[in-house]
Amino acid sequence: MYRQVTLFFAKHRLLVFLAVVLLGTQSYARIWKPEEVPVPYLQDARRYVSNPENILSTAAADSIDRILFALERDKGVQTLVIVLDKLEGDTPYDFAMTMARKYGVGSKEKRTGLVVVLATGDRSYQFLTGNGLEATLPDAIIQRIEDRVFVPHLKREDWDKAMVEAIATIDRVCRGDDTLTKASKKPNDGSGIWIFVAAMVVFLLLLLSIARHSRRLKKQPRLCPKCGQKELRWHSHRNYHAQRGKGRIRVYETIYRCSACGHVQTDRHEDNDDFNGGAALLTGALLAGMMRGGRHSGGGAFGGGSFGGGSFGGGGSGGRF
Amino acid sequence: MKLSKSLIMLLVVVVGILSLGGCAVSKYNVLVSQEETVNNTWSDLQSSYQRRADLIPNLVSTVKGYAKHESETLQGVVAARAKATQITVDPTKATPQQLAAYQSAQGELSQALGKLLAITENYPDLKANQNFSELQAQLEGTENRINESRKLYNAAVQTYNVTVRSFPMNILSAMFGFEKKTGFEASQEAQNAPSVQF
Repeated sequence: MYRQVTLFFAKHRLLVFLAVVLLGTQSYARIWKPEEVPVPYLQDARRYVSNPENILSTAAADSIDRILFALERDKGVQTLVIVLDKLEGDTPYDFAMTMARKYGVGSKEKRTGLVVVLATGDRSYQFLTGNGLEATLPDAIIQRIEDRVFVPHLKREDWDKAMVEAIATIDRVCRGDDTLTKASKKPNDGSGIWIFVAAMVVFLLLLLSIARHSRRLKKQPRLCPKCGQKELRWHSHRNYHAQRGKGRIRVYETIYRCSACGHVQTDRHEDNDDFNGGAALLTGALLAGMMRGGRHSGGGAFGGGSFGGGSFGGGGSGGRF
Repeated sequence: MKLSKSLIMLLVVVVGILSLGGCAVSKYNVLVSQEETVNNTWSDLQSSYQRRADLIPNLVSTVKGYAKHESETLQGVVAARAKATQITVDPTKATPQQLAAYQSAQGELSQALGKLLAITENYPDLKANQNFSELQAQLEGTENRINESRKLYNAAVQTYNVTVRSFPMNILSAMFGFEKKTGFEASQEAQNAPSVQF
């Protein structure tokens, strides 16, 4: 069997070679559909470049990632860079719009998303700005960047330099303008209200627990029901857990004793065992921290990133080279 | 506990009225918010058109400097712009005829712009002008915005119309004054939106 196979290969060496070459060129000349494009950002929040055919060098993709990571951290501009050979339909605008809509690039409130598509085989490109980015990066500015930085390198087929320099220029334009950061410091930003609500909840829980504790500790003077002569005196209290139906409950018992006749009376108070005073404070603080931490999506631990649901109205600029 | 027959009947009737009323109220609220979406998307569409109209004087004066012999085409654009900006449509009161007039005026402007951009191909100096190429990019972006807004508007109108015409509301919509709305059809002229070549 093995010999037969090797014999076949030896006999039809040219045929095999041709087949391999054909397969190779076929995978190279792939025409991409928007839904097939991998988005590395979803796995790693530091990677903004989708470069499945390795048209950009790793070094170029890395430096683009670094610029865009800092840009998202500082200015809240979330970017998706896609470099492919050929696009389905040869319509870079539609392709970019489909990707932008599908993943919702950019935050939902600030709508500062940016999608860059370059199709080297089609020799076309498209920059797409989110609604909130149109003031910072007007179409004319994008066109200027394309004219002066992007297209000259594209014409020499220097994809690395074209993309890195265009992204670096966009980064500079975004940083020269502080409207984006100003927007995030608005008082009606929403996060303040949530922290306030969390603080109120914690405060109420604390109040509740204090009230319960004080009620439990208070010695309640009343006459002994048996002899009626003396007041019942607080003797001791204990609390324990008990099973009630499906849930666990906590039982608080306060024991009173009459000093005249020695009659013992037990007051029982039951509570759901899902909460205790000290832990609630801690949970509240953690919750507030989480809410505040959640504002910087993608920061901290570098798991997968998530796109914020930004919207695009058709701003940006594109063309052919 | 024993309830008399008439009391049970009364309860059933009361519960029935309450649930029908609740259903109508919730549907009504849905319809109100959908109508609001239609109005919002309409004003987005209108501001996209306005944006295009605002770009035109600048474009015309830039082209004029290079292409003096094309005054006819330039005047065509100016006239179409004047006509298009005269018509404003209030989505809450618009009749289908008004919408159609608005559409055709904007369509004529698209056509005039297309002609203008076509003749600029003959002027290499103009095409090399930085100002002109940026205006062209802005114009292209605005056409894209118009298309996106139009899609969103039509989607909003469709959602609204489905709600208006589906069951409890098709009886009640006349009572509450909700009418079926017209979408924005791509007119014959709008098909020929200026294509920008580089």
